[in-house]
Amino acid sequence: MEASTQTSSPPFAVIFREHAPLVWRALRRLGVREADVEDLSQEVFVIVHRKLPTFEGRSALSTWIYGICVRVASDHRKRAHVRREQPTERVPDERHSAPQLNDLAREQARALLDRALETLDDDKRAVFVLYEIEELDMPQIVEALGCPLQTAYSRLYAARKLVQAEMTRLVGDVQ
Amino acid sequence: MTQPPPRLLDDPSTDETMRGALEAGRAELPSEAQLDALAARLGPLLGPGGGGGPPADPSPALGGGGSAAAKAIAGLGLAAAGVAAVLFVATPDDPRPPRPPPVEAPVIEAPVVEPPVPLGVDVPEDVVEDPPAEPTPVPSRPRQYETDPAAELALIRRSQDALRSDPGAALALTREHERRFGPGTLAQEREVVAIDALHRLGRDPEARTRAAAFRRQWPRSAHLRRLEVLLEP
Repeated sequence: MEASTQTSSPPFAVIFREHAPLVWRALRRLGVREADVEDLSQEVFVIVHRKLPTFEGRSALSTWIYGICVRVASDHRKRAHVRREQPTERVPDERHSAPQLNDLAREQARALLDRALETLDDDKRAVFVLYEIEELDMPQIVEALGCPLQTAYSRLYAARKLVQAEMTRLVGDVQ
Repeated sequence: MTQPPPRLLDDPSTDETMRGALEAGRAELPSEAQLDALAARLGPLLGPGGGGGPPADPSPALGGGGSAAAKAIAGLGLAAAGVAAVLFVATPDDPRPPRPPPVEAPVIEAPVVEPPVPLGVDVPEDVVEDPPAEPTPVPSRPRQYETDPAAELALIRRSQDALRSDPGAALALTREHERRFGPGTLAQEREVVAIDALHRLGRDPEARTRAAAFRRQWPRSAHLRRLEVLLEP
């Protein structure tokens, strides 16, 4: 039966409980629209379940799952019919209460981040997201993406420059 | 060996705009309702017998109330045989006895009053869907529905696949399911697709009416949270 898992792997339900929030967040930062993230999260976990028997434990389980996230998100974005999300920058309204203002500020900051991330190609975006948002170490990123270490570093430095430049431009446009 | 640079959020020289954006990006996590909806879709993989491991922790996030039907449709990656086995498990929400295995005899269908909408054809926006009093109305006289679980699953999968690209076609497929399988094992999933399709077509009043009927019929369904999220103002 396909569903059997190695004794070294935790039960699938435990894997889901521990990783679902991270999978969700990673997919969002990797460019999956909010309307699609549930579908794509399901796809990730179906793959995890199907491939768990072949997971050899050479990397951390979370690293392996992040690698699946990157591939699923990349495939999704390459499909012709997928529209890229166009984050909107909303100006907080004075009528909002303090908690709402905080929410709006966070939403605005997130929209800024996503817009800056849109300037990156999939390879640079994956390294940036896994390092700066998901806080993986570089060797983990190399495992997840299957690229040489120096390549990962190069992508990270290039991504940082591009994201910073785009944020500066966007903030300048608003002001 | 190259030393890893400090992460931007750990670097004091990172400007406030970048810092705020990264913090906001890290803070975006799914709500409990979103996790419940995802868990419901993965039901057969998470629940007993679905994942090959021990039973799932009865955490709310795992959607422990998922019906076997929900489990059957959620595991789209499963082999048909495995899914078919799940289809025959009775559910707390479903008072009907377990369905018999597929019969070899030819299916006898009662006359269909209304011709089904052709597949792949959008329902005009101005046509008001007549929501049934219950999602699976009881016919006035006994009627024999198809009982092939693989065919039923395939039809529901087609309707789900059509949802995003062509909700009108998805809605038509749910009608076909209702006509062929009636109160079948995947009736809940059919109603969820139909409600979602109506919502996507901008027909929210009909979607809400149908969702209310869904709640009456299956008050403990794992799909209710998803519907609430879908239709929240």
